[in-house]
Amino acid sequence: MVPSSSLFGSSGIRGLVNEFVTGPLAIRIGLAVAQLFRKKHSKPCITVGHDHRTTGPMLTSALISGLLTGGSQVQIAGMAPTPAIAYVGGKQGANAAIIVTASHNPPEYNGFKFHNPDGAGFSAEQQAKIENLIDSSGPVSWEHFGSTSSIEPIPAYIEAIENACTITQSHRIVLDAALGAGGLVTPLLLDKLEAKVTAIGVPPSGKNYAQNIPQSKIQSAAAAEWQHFVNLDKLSALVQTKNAEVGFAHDGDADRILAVDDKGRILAGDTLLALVADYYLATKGGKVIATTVSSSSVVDYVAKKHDASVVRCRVGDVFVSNLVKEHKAVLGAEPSGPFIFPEVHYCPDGPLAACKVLELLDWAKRPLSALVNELPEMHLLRASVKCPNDVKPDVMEYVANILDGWSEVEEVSQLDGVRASFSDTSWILIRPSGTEPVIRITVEAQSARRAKELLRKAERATQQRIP
Amino acid sequence: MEGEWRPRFGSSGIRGRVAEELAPNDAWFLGNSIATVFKKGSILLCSDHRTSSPLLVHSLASGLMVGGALVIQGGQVITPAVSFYVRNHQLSAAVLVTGSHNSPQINGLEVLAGDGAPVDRTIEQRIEELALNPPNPLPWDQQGETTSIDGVGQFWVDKVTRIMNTALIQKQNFRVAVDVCNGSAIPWLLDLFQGFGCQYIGINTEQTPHFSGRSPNLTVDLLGDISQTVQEQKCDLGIAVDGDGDRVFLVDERGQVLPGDVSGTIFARLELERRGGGKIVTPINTSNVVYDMAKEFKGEIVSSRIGPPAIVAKIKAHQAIFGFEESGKAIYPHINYLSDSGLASGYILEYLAQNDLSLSALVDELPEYHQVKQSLDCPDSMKGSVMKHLIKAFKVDFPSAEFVTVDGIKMIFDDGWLLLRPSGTEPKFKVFSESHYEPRAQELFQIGLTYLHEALSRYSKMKNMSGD
Repeated sequence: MVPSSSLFGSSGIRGLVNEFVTGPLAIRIGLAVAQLFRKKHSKPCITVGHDHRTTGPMLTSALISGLLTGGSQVQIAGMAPTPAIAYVGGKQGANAAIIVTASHNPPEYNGFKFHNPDGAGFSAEQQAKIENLIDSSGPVSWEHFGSTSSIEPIPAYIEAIENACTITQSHRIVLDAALGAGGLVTPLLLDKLEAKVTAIGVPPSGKNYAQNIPQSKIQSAAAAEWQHFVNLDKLSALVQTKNAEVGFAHDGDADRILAVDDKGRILAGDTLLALVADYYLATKGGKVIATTVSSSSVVDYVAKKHDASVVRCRVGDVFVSNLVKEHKAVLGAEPSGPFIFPEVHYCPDGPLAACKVLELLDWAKRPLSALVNELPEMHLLRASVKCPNDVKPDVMEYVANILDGWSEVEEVSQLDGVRASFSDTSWILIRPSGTEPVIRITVEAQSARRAKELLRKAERATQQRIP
Repeated sequence: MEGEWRPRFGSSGIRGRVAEELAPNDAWFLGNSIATVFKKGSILLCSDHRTSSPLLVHSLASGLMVGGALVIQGGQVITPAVSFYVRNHQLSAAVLVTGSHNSPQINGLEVLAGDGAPVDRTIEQRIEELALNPPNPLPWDQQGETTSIDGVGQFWVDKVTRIMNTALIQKQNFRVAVDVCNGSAIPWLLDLFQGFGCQYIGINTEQTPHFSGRSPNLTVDLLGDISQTVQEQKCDLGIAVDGDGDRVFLVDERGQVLPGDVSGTIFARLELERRGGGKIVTPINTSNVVYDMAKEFKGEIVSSRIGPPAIVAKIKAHQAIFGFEESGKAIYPHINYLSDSGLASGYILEYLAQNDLSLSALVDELPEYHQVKQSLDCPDSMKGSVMKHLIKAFKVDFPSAEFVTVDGIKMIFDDGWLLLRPSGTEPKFKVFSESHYEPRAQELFQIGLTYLHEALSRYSKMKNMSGD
């Protein structure tokens, strides 16, 4: 069982700045992390960096202060994408990397992501330890306060990614870095790989955040959270006018990627996952793909083609990277956009994913739209049902029993909420939200009618138990 | 946690044992208040080289940013360079992290206004108040930013070099012993001597946060090494500074270490001669030697409380030309409102060159005084009661003395004086005495010690009783 946590969400610690995420909290986190690593290393070393948010430097400074007070050395990485900070910190001998970022959240949010030297996010056990230490960690004696040094993660990271990719063609690309830290890396990286890049959403800017982002008309449920910080219409239109082969977007700290095909269609995260999985299983010789309970069965379809299997875990990149390690998976990914390529590191890596999509295009020798069209069409629907937090456990237990009793259900999994798979490859996922008083329902089927029918049934089953 | 003790401004900024009395959290709240007081302006942030300086710099920077300031990080630098830089660059303020002359586990911060002077008491109080009751946080798009600059130290070296007549100094081919105290004066003060065109012999020139060579304080007893070097290497003079390079003591060519009163009196004389007279500010614990000197050089002495904020306030109020403290502080207000070891060194070299004099000649012109000083432990909470008791007892027992109570209690007799004063930076009570005649200085000192012991034992007993 994963211990319950009031600090950590599915991706580090996150919240409203100066309300939950404050300078004094950052100091305490620094003290706690220093104490955690002091148990093993007399002089631990932590790499610290941040994304483009206006509150990044303030929180980073406070975090560094806490780490130094706790006796840790600090490598200051400055502004850079999460994967770059995690990768270079690990290679330069740091015991961990902390990135001040709230990923795709609105600008009034910020938070902290924690990565081990191999790139993997802190495990549930490490998170629980920090949680325990947060109110009890003290300073070291004055002789042992830490000191700082500066590192420049971007050149070393770009070089590493360049070396990890083999791209033979020159590709036409549109990139929207969403004014985030990815803008410091991906345009340079793609340029080195001989691509012709049209970049928007550069350079990074915390103040102009979310500027020019209109209400989008994106239907794809999987891309829904992206439209809050990327102008998907603009990206789609630009791909077409520039005659580009592919369009990419990053989130604020560039650990995620979204792709647009050559026809300007926004690809659901599941679709991109299926395509990259297909390429990896065909060329890298692995037999396992790791993903979460929320991803589409189109991934299973691709895996079956290669006689490979799909393993699933609860939502959150930390769990995916653990699953990748555990099953020696060739690839780990979530439909929301994080991709983990274990041959490089276990950190979700947006710039690396962009390069891997180019590799895939080289290999497939067909336009991205053609590859998309070859996948079976799946219909994915999402809905939320209001539910007070205190009755969530009861409702979930009830739902699990109901679904288990349905005759057409093949398997029920309770890794994260309740996921029921049906014999016709359709599935239902019912999950309590960790942050809001709602229960989220996701269904997927091969026809729109079947998807609607399943969604109706799932909603009814959930609502029955809510007072 | 409400109403908990927070670090407060003493006679020279805020000081404390880091992570105990001065924690990163305190620095964060202070940073926020300082940014609020200076209305989100551009604030220079510099430090000395102590182990605790980086952690305080980072928590201060964070607090300054949350208060909306643009934080200009100037790195680790000699203290007078910070006030000099802020005065010459249209910045709103400076925050300096320094433990000054205190032991290595102590650190502190000094807040300087845009003219480089320590902020006055009203602003100190406002900062303390805001640290206890912080303003509402600014929205996400009004947070401050941070930027780094190089050259705060170099700017000082270049400008101070140019102020002096280096051609003249160079001609004299001075040999100078410079004790930089393993501190943050390194390398700036040494570069400055190079700029003056002196041949210098460095002492304690390796920067070590635990002050491996000697204590970061400046007292005559601590400066045996430089005294010996001056004699052995046949130097023209010696210059010793404290841990962060603002305080300065002189050593004459005979190897005699001059106490702070004497060094300060010589610096003051040079200023009076250069400017044709004027006002000199110095605290009430300074030796009478300065009064004797001032009579000869058209000087008027203005007495102040101890500590740079008090001295500078008097300098400004009286348009004084110079200020100093027996601790080694030398303030040249036309150039720098913080004590500046570089200016003091430059002016003395220039004067000796112009007049073709040895330092000992200046020393020998001064009348001789004998001083005795000692500090006793006294908790901050007891200082007030002890002080009241002493005033009462002295006034009864020594009705013929003249009393000065601007800072502590000073009893002036025809043949000397006695001062008892609570320290503004440490939990200590200090006893000073002075007389032309050494036995009398000792006698006055013993009187002070006896009365202080009595007061201390009386109030610690009372405290123990009420503590149960």
